[in-house]
Formats: sequence, C-alpha cells, structure tokens
Amino acid sequence: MAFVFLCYFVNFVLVLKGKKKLAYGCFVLSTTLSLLMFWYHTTSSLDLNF
Amino acid sequence: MMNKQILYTANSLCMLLVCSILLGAFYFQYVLGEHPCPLCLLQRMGMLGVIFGLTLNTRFGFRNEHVSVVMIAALVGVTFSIRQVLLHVCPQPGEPTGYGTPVMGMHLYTWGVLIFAASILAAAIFLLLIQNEPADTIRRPTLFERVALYVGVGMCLANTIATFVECQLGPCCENGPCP
Repeated sequence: MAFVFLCYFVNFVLVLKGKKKLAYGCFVLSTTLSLLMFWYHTTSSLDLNF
Repeated sequence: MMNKQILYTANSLCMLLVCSILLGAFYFQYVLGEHPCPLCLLQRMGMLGVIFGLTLNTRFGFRNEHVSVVMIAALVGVTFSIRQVLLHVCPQPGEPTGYGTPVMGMHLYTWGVLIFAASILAAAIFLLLIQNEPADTIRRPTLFERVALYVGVGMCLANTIATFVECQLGPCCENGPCP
C-alpha cells in the first residue's frame, strides 16, 4: 500500500519539477496499481474486504 | 467568461477542501485510534488523484486534460467507496451497522461517495468555465496557490509515511501488516 502512495507522491514531485508527461505516465501507473490492489482486496483469502 | 484568477483560486480552494478531508481521516486514525480499513486507504488514493489533477491546473494552467485527470481519479475513488457502502449496507443481526464511527449520521465511506460525486460535479463546472492554456504553459502560482499545492504534496507524503509505518509496503490487514 505504501508503495502505491509513494507512486502518487512521485506524481506530485514530477509536477513540481515541471515534467508533465512523466507525471501523466506516473498517474497512469499509480491509478493502475490502486485498481490492481482493489482487485486483490476483493479476491484475496486474507481478510481485506472491509 | 469568469476572471481567470478567480478560477485558479477556486481550484486551490477545492484542493484544500479535499486535503481537509484527508486531514479528518488522520484525526480518526491518530486521535480516535481507529485503524484505517484497507478500502479506506484505497479511497485516500482516489482523493490524492483528485488533488493531483487540481495541482496540474495550478502548475501548468487550465486544460481539459487536467480536469479529466480529476474525473478519472474521482471515478476510481467512487468505485472503492461504493464497494464499501455495498459491503455494509445490509448488516447482519447482532453486528454493528457499518464500519467505524459515523460523522453526522454517515460513515466515512458514505461521505467518500458524496465527496467523489462532488469532485465530478466540480470538474464538470470547471470544464464549462475554463479556457485552455497553451500546452507548454508553466505558471507562476500566487502565494495562496503555492500554499495549497504544498499542503497537497504534504498530505500525500504524510499518507505515504503513515501507511508505511502501519503496513510497510504490502497490503494492510485489520491491525497492521498482513502476515
């Protein structure tokens, strides 16, 4: 989870540095990771679905 | 067409509004001692995505694609919120209704649905009012906009550190990292 948050943080750093295209790429990555994490939450045998 | 600076100030106010919600989540976590649920953490990510889209407006000027980032992030976030609402909408007899302490009668994930819906509405209103800046624009934000921008970055960093302390890099179980 912290890794996905870290990806979001990198988004912000890239915006501050003025690298818009890289920031878009990182946004796609972090959004995909959060959706994958959501999918993992709904299917995992660990009790994560709350 | 509205004054551009008013719109940039409104953009920053929206950013601070979403940040205040994330701050409220920290209040529940550290003051009331309620550990964030896994789906709650995912909803925080959706809110950070919304803040990110607003940050693009502050830094690079208004453009339709920045507003679409807000909409995509809000749609992702509302998916997580609705999932959690549906999990708790029909409680079993003898079990508590919902997860966590309600605020003004609604649980945080229900507020999440409203917040993401409001984000989509606000993005649609921005689309009506803004004029696209050239693609290579890099703005010099006002002091207020800079404060809002750094508060947003700070909230993201705070969430990263808090989640790492709680669950390290992997998924979060009920009271910390999963075994």
